[in-house]
Amino acid sequence: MKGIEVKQITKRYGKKVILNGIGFELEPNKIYGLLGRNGAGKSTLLNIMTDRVSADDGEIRLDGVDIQDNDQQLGNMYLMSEVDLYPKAAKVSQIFKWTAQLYNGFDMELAMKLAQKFDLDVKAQFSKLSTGYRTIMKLIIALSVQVEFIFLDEPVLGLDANHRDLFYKELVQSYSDNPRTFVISTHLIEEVAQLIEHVLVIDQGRLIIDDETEDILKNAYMISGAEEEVDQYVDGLNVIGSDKLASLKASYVFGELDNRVIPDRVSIDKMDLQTLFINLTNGGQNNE
Amino acid sequence: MSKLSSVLKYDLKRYLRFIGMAYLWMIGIVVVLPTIVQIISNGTNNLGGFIQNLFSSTLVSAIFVNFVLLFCLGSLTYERFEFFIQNGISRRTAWASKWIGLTLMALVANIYNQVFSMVTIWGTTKFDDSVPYLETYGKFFGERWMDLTMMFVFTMIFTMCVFVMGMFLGSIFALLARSTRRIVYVAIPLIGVIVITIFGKLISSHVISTEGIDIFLKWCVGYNSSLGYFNPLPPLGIMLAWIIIGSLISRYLNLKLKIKRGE
Amino acid sequence: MQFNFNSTEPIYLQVARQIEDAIFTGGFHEGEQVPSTTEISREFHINPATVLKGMNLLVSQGLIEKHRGVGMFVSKGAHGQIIQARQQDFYEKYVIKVVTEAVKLDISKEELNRLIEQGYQYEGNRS
Repeated sequence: MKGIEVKQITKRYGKKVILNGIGFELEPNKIYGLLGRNGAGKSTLLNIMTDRVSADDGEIRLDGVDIQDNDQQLGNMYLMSEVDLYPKAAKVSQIFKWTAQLYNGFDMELAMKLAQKFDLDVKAQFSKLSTGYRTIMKLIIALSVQVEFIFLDEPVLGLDANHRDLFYKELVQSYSDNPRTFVISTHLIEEVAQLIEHVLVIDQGRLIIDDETEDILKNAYMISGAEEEVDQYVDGLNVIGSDKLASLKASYVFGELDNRVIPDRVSIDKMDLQTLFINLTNGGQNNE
Repeated sequence: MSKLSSVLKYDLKRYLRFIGMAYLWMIGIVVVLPTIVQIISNGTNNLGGFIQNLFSSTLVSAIFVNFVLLFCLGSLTYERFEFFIQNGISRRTAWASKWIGLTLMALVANIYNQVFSMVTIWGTTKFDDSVPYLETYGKFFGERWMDLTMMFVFTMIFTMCVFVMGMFLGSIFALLARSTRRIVYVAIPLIGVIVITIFGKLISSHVISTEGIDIFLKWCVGYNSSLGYFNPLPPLGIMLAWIIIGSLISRYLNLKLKIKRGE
Repeated sequence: MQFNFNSTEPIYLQVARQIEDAIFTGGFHEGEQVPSTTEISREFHINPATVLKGMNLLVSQGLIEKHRGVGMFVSKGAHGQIIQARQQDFYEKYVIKVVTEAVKLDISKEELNRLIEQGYQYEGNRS
């Protein structure tokens, strides 16, 4: 199979189970959103997928081949993450050159152009860059390196609003020019909601959503009105959360509404991705 | 295969830079600094002879620097792993590249050393004490060209032992968490002192005899009392065994490397 | 072109509607090129596949057409077609709503007619 298969990945740190039997597939040329609260296990999963750490159980296959200790498969992925794994004393331009040498393909022209757009000084030492510029350097590499699978773990960490905007623009441009698979792991859901075609949600080490963004939002509703009528209407539906203000109530439903009659004073709206995410991952508590 | 060659190219470039810098430092410390001191205290009298003397002593320093460097380059493990895994290079390839790279470096250093030694002893028939190997093992074959060949093989294998030791220790430390590593740094010398003390006590109170140890050590270095000269083959065998065992263990440990959390 | 997205309606429909609005209000004239998929996705951080889906909806409605290798252009008669469609929707989309609300507010038919008259006068003075 073309693409990446994640099979039953389990990871423990001590007695704590970080990932519990995670399994999904990544198709070629799609933009994925990997969502989850802090500590949900997103970074650990991405680290396992790129062989930075090993899983206790399960395996990762890229185009049908186990990625573990395989140059061919590892050389077709790039993980940009918070940790800095580049030599501290190296200059940015030197790091670009090394990346070009070790990966089979790097668009140096694009990297230099992006460095200019982001005002990144390529003659500067990596260790002397601010957090934001370290992120920028790694993002530039991620967009310039020629691999089919790019993982971005919190890609806009430390970036100001202008740079965030510029990054998303360049990401889309790069993806349009040269379609490949991106997995964006972030807690800034609103910023990427329109970018991601497919959503993966991890909660407490388990994969709870693995679906196309459009299909998910099709069945995400906010039912609001007088408490009694709302409660009556949502009875038997998959309610994932609710908000209450005096006698008014909003219930969040994830799933089909069937053909039940809508009471006069109850209104039905669609939920956005952020609201859906919050309600799915707050541990079943109501925000009342 | 192409990955290995690009990793090797990266490694060799870095090694050469390290060695270049180490040599600059060495020349600075062994030649330039004493020369400046000499000029200040004695003026420029007989300066040529003084510098010539200093340069002849750089041979010993160079051998020392080579060993220290190969050991250090062998032991650098974790940062190198970080960089390679970020660049999609497997642990297997990274390990192989380091082993091959350091072997090549050792080869170059030993070819240089061999040529230098041969020039030094050119035209003399008795074995010069300026070449440490020949002084000890140089009479074994009785044929000069065979002894010289053996000298090359022997020192090459010895150099490899040094970097394999570096790789071996480096990979152990790379797997330890920072806190454990600190404990080990303190614990190892401490344990060493305690073991030696106990050993010394045991020997001095005749609980264990030194004879067995004596015979074993003599065998290890190839001393033969009936022949009256040293045999290079037993130490060669021991070193070869170490290279194989040390390399395999370091490779095994390298495959277990992982990015640590919070370091 | 100014896009205003809300987060609850499918994005591809919003893309299609915004372009349609721009043709309706004269932002894009007939025969003129509309922004490319990449331009729109880049500007608004939207997945290109989503933008393309919206564009294809307009192509299937005959409002824009693909010129191979050049881009998308507003079709001949697109403006008229939009007006016709919106006239057809007018009763359902606006009139029914106005009347329903008027009934709730106890506004009589005569009163509503008078208000409509007043609205026309205001529009007349404005233009």
